[in-house]
Amino acid sequence: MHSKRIFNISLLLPALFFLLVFLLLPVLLLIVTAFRNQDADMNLLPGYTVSRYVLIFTTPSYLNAIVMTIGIALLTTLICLVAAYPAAYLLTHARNRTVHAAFYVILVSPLLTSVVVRTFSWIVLLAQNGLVNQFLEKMGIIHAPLSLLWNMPAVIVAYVQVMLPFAVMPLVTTMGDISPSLSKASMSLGVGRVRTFFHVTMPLTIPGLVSGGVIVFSLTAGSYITPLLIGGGRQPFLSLLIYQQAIQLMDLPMAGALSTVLMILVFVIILPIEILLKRWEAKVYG
Amino acid sequence: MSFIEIKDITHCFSSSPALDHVNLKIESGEFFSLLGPSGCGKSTLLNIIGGFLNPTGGHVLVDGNDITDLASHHRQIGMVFQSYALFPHLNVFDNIAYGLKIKKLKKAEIKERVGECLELVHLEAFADRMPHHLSGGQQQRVAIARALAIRPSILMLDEPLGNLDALLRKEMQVELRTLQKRVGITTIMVTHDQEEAMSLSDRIGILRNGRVQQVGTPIDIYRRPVNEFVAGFLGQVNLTHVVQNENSPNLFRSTEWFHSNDAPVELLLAPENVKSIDGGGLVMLRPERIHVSFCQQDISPNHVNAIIRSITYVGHAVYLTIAFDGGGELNLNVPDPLFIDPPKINQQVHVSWTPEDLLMVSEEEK
Repeated sequence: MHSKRIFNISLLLPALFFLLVFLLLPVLLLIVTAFRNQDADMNLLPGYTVSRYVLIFTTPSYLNAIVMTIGIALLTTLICLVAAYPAAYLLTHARNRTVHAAFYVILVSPLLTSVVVRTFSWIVLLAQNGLVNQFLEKMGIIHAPLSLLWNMPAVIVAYVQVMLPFAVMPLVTTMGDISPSLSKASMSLGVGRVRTFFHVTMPLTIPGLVSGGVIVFSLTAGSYITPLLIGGGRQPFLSLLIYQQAIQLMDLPMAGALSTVLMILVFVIILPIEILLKRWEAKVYG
Repeated sequence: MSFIEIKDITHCFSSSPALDHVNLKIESGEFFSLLGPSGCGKSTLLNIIGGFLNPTGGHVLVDGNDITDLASHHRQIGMVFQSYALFPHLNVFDNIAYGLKIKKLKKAEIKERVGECLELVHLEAFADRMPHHLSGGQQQRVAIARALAIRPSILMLDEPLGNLDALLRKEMQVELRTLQKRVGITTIMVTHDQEEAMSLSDRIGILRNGRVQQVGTPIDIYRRPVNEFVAGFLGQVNLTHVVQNENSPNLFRSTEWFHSNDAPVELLLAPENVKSIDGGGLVMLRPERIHVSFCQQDISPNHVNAIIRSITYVGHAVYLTIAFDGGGELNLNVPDPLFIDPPKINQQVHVSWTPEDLLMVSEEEK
């Protein structure tokens, strides 16, 4: 028994080591750096300060970025979850293995494509002389090309494309676990297909909904490549500000402070949802 | 209360027929069982009656109205599933109230009707429990209460006791039967368990390979099965092929059972039990109808000497396999107190039966 436990722990060690050294430690350093004093040439000085946080929470542009980041991440999550239901339903109710496999490949294809390829396909599609504009002009619907790229809607569409698989996959798992006799039972009790979905299927997929939502939300809130390439870096996202501070301005403490704010915001939003989910699961499944 | 007619129902899954021209009539207030081995089509038929499957051909009529094309949620059929299918996110009260809330009944009326149903299944104290806090038997009763709450015209039970342990199953059988008689609702049960079907049903329909083999009361089909399959499915049975004696229409010679002198065992059948085609056929004999004694007697029709080959003692009875001197075996089921000394292997016995115990049955179609 004892040796088995030691064996199990030793299996965990490599992953634990990586997590500790390459994630936890840098994050801690980041948080500490964000409080360090700094001279005009950005050299770190002894002593600590909260001035950066004061700056973040008193500057309208930073506050705007916070609201925008969380708002767009929530919107993306919402769109992904709504779009994920039909996809998950199709995948769970696939007629046979081949159809299921085909749906699955289509679903995960954005994840298998390089971010550069994916992004430039969007540019090919949405640019001033891109496919969409050419098509609309040929059809005579528009006379001058629309500017479809470098704006917020384009960023959101690109986000949804990348994040959708993360929302669908947990939903497929939970939906597959629901016994088909539950919806049969519901229908035998006089409840139609649509209302059965809302009264039985949807409540029982809450765990998948939450885990998919949490993944999409946290990934979206922290992503910077998509807004940088599709949005041209013009939207006020915290992730873009962090990128500017760290890479362009070399102001690591400020980047650290912004990162800490982003981390805490995401955490503060996810935590209560996870707690509610645990309570719900305890109530329903004991 | 409603009566159901199943008219010429045929259903094919990718060309192979799961149901082949099934005709049944289920009387109002009757407890009817569809009995058969797995894959016989009984679940397909249940799904067709429940509206979860559109039959390839044929009609389902309730009280004379064709419901074949009616959506399942308009059929007013209460269903109880083998897995109970309780909604795990709703407590007992809300599970039972589920069908009522959809109908937009007033709160007070819902409460009253759920209360009635809980009382019916003796679960008044469990209204606030979540399904996972209930035992299998309690979940089963909630499922029944939920199905009855919508006051359906028909109750359908899909292997309702399949997930319960043996002791609880006996208990629930009695309870289910009492409940059904009290409510008086037309009930269709699907099961592969012949004992369950026999103890609960007014009538049983036996299905095999998508065809109805026989319909009748439990006594009817056990005592007078129409064919080899029904005979064997309802309990143990001894079968032998026979040829008719030229001189006497009720006397047959077994082609598989022989005396020590290689003379075939002669079987005298009651005239009403003869159903001979071309002077031969298949004769059945239930193991519990065979009388056994240890003293030698004259050999005459329906009296044979044999040797005990195997003994299985199960407490209330002894199962014996005996071999005739010249070939052929017979299974016996003897109540325990019949033996003062336990029987021994290779012991000589004398077995006999009456002409009424022998019945000709049709051979299984191959």
